[in-house]
Amino acid sequence: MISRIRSRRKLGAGLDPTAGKRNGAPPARPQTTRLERAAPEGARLTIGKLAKRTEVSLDTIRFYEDERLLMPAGKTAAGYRLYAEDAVQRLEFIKHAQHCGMTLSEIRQLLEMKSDDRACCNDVRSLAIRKKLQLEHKIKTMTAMSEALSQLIEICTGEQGPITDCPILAALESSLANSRATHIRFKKTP
Amino acid sequence: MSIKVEVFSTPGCSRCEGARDSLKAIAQKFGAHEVTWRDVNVLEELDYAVQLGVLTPPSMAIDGELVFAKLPTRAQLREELVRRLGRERA
Repeated sequence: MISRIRSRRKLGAGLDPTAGKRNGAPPARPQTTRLERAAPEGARLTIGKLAKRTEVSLDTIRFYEDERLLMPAGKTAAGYRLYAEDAVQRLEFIKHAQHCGMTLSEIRQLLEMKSDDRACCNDVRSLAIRKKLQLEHKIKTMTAMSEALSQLIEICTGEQGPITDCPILAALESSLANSRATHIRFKKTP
Repeated sequence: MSIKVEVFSTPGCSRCEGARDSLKAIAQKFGAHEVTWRDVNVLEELDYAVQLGVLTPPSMAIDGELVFAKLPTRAQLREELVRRLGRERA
């Protein structure tokens, strides 16, 4: 994903198609971008320092920028990204939300709510409840998958027989792997 | 046998409460012998909600089946209940 975005970034980096071919110069940059504003007071963290403090990789920070989750406060005259102190808290927020299973899109929603005066605590609670329901559904589905696998494992004695006699493959081929009937049909008698 | 309507929601959602009361009135018009109503707190009955496939409360189940993932309009609920009652009588 990150490599795809990086290549996309490279493609969009220079508007002039011949840029970069002249005298080995770096590709021409667009005339103006959001990032090329002067860094405000307090924006002292370079991307490297931010990455070190938050234990988040440089690629991930750039990826979050592409996803509009974390924008630099500005850039130096040489074009390096600069972040304010609140970027540290924002990255910690993203990390914690990911630990709770939130997708980047959901994290974006949470961050928008956080900075929206019209949003209320109940909006966040509703999102958290929806997420919990999704996770519980996944757990239920995965438990069923695990049980189906247990049944398949149980029907195989693990002997060194030829692959053509493999009861697990036979059960999967028969499309009956999920039913208890399969378990009885393919169970080898001792 | 009466039709069982269950509405899954979370307490504290004022929008849900307004819509739910309006739908409850529709269900109650049929009479308790025809349609029963139950409010389900998703957080208190999480397993049941998951079992029925509730993902985005408020949702509505009828006779143990998730019929409306989002709350229906009054007309949609009335239509669904009439259809089911008609089927039961047939």
